[in-house]
Amino acid sequence: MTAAPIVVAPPTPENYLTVDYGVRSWLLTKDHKRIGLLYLMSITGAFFLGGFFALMLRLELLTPEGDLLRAETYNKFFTMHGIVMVFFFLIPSIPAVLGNFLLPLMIGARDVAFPRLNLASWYIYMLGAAFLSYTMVSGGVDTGWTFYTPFSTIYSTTNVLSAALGIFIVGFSSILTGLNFIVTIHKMRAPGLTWFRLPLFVWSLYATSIIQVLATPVLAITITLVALERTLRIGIFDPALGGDPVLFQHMFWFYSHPAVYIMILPGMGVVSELITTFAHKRTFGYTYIALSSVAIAVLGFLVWGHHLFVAGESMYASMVFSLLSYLVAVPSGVKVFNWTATLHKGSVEFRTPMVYALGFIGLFTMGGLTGLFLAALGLDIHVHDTYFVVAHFHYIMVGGMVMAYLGGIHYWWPKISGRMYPENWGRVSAVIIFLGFNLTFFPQFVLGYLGMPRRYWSYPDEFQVLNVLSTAGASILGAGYLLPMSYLLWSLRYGAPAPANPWGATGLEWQVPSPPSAGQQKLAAELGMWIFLATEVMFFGGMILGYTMYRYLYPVAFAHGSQRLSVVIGGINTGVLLLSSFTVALSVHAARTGARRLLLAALGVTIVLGVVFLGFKAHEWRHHYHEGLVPGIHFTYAGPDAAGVGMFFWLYFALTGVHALHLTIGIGVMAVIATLAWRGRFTPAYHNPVEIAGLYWHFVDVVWIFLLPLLYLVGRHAP
Amino acid sequence: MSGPRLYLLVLVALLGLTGLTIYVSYLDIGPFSAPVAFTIAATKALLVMLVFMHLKESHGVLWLAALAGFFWLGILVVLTMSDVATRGVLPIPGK
Repeated sequence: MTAAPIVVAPPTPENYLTVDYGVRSWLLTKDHKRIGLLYLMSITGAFFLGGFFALMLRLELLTPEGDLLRAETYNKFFTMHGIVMVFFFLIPSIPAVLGNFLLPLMIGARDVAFPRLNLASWYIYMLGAAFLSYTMVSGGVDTGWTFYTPFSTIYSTTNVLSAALGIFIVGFSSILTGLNFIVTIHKMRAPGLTWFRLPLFVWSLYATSIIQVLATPVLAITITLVALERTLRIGIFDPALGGDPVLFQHMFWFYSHPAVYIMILPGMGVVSELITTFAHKRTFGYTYIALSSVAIAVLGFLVWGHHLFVAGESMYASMVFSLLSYLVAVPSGVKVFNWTATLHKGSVEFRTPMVYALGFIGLFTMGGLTGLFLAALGLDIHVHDTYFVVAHFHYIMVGGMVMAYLGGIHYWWPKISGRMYPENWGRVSAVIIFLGFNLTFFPQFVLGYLGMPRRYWSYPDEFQVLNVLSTAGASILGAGYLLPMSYLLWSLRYGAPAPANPWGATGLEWQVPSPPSAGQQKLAAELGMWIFLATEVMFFGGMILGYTMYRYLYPVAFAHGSQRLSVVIGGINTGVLLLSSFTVALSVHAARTGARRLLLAALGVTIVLGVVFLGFKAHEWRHHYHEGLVPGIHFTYAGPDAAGVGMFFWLYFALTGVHALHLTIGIGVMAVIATLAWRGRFTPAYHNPVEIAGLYWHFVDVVWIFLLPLLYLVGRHAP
Repeated sequence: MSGPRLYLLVLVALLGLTGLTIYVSYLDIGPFSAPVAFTIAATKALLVMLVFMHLKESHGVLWLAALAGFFWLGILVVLTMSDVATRGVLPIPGK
């Protein structure tokens, strides 16, 4: 008798999905791959919610009469469609899902630079989503996703504040993701992986992150000002109160036009990867594609004024913005031509991701070319606020971006899920989406050209045929989107197990990742703080812009306002803050040299000086209150130029209030650092938190250095 | 020079510049008021950044991050003011 052979099952390789199964392990994960999946689930929910609103809008527009929704409901639906799709789906889609999952794998890092911050950014996203959900269930908001003033600040009776708060919060999620990526790309690359060896997807994430950290703070301060005007009825943007609604549009589009590039740049990065892999050929013009991403990020910041051609913007500024808007077409063209050249004589394989990539090129090109129409000063007047604009930006943001996103999801699905999706269903759905999309939006170009304005729930009879075509297309498009959702879920259970590299791709993410050396962490934290400070400059920058503009418009009133401030108190407070910067510098020196008593003493004095500054500030504010100089709360000033003086004082309170808030946070941080120092946590080898906290404190000091002349000193001798 | 002695020197310079800018604000120098005040402020900010924030000992990428915020703020202000300052130049209503 022979013994039966013992069969040993091959061990299941442990991976990020199987390492732990509990809900807690997902909700507290610091693994970039799991955080990417948390985002994937969240934004998929947002996509279908935004899609539901779109479907309702298209159904309403099936007939010329407003017969499905009331006019107010229609307004609320297109507002929610825009907010959900832009802020909660498109902006986080590729960076937060595919970027989080792939960036460390692509550069050979163990994780992103700040894993805890990465998880925090998802929670912040969910908090923003909670406020938006509250807005929805409590009656909605009807301003459009653009929140144009003074409608949003004075006239709308809907839930503007909670919607604005949701967007304000979700903006910080975007900033933190961008900050994390920039530091990761700078500091966590595997040795030897130089800039011009990086995957093009990484270049696109880098360019996107620049926009996220520098533009989003301006949106945050813009929304804050909308909330201030709405709650306190002070004249910021409302012309009836001396404000300027065009200032709002400048500030809003300074963020929101580059935001289009936040949406499309990562899509371009994905497409660059897909085309290289499925053309089985080296990327043509790698360097030009890489640098064109950065060029788009920078030039994208210079073109926002083309949204204001008919809003009262000066003709000269419009000419400048028109010219600059044409410029941004150059790097976009560089990309399209290089992709085409990569395809040329390539061994093109029409797998699902490639079908999406080809669809992207076609749709993005159409969206880009029609953008040139809108950059033209004369033609823009004809098609402004018509369906031509709606079609144009959907060709970019849906035709371009969503195609790239779906292409990327299919491409990396084997890496994400360990399963293959059904290839034929993939190809069929890509074609359905392409056809459905064109049927939905191409008629809208014609409608817009014929003069049908956007944002109306009824229209003249002669537009019906084109609207029916558009709604039919939307139904096909909706079905097309449901297909990948269904078969990708199906593949999780029934899909064939995926090999490590099903496409024969060359990227590092398809190989075993190499972890970076641990010594890079200090520099990462320092760079992270400097980038954070750059976002802070932009946050204050929105108010400084308001100040500059209104000082230019009301020079005498601002001089009168300035004269009511005490130069003595301003000067003393400046001295106090400068002294605190000195003690902070001393504390960093003490931490570096291991002088614990000096460290504690310097931190203690810093905290005291911070409190003294706030004390003087509170005294000043109290004095202004008694003088009736607090706009929106107690403003009794009746001298000459009262409206302009009010304008000066709301800017004064906004700037000094936000500064004081920063200082208060700084005092809290210093108190924590002092406690840690008391417990002996810092040594000459480890004192990074002291340095990082010090950088923040000095920044608050630098802001005040500019506030002193801005508010107290300049132009005091004007009549 | 480095360390506490340099910090002390910078502190004295910062306080001196603060005194100077306040003194100048009491003089009626007309249109030069703003350029003078902001030149002094920029000098002070530069001192804090270079010495207290250790930028002078830092390598390229930190400089890039430090300048990025100011550069982009410049874009925001200059291009917006290109609209505000040229409104009404053409004899066309609203332009």
